[in-house]
Amino acid sequence: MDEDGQDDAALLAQAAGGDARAAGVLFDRLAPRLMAFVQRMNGGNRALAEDIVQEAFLRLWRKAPDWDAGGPAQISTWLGRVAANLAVDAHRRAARETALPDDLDPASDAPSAVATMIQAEGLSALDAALARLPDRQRQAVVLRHVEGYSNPDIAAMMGCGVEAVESLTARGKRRLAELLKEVS
Amino acid sequence: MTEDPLDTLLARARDDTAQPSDALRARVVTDAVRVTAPVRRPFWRGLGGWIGLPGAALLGLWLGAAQPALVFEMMPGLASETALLDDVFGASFELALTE
Repeated sequence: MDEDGQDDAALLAQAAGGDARAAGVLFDRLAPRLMAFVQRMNGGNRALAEDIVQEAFLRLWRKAPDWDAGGPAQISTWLGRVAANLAVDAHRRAARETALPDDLDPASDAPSAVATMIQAEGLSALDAALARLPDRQRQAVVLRHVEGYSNPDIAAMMGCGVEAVESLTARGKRRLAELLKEVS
Repeated sequence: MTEDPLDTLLARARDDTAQPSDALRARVVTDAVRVTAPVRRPFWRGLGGWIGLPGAALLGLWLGAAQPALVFEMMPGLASETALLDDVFGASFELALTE
């Protein structure tokens, strides 16, 4: 429940009835965290993140009339899962078009990225390091260690086995620690 | 950096936010209004089958009663007006007419 006395489900019900103000309030409440998550998933691509957030909300509006306000699902969790799936799908499409192997480190020979990290601190350093991970490692690390999804959930989202997720998160986190160690 | 500070950093990232643009907000709200707008249908669509079947039955009845010649012309196998009414109401109609 927010300070204005309306919870997310009530706002969604009003939005389902065509209330643009309620839709805007719900967006203001949920979009900033969703944007940060999606940007982190796709390595900082803001334009792609905005497309994904828009699509996630579009699916929410379509689901709004059937939303079970008394059910266990939270709107923020539902949006996060939809956005995660969209981000993984976007990566798959991009990988098909460019035919890059998943484990390729696209920034391994980019000294400017290291320089950026050295100057950065905290979450900025984390984001810079995450952006240097291979796409699937980054997605697995973000989903597991930032968002807290279980390995089976991540496997379903990423279309791979649980063992592959374990391997991706372990290698990703190790590499992340190395990259941040370089900074410190 | 050891993994513990990394875990702390990753946990901090969970509550991180990024301000979406005004343009994105406008697009999302426009989507909401478009998707949730009630679909306007012509009023007769709502009547649907309720008007179709009873309407056809009443038209058939009126045709048989008011325009029997037309019915005989279209269905030459029917012998007479009485037979036509018998088909519709059974023998009781003929009985009622004679009383």
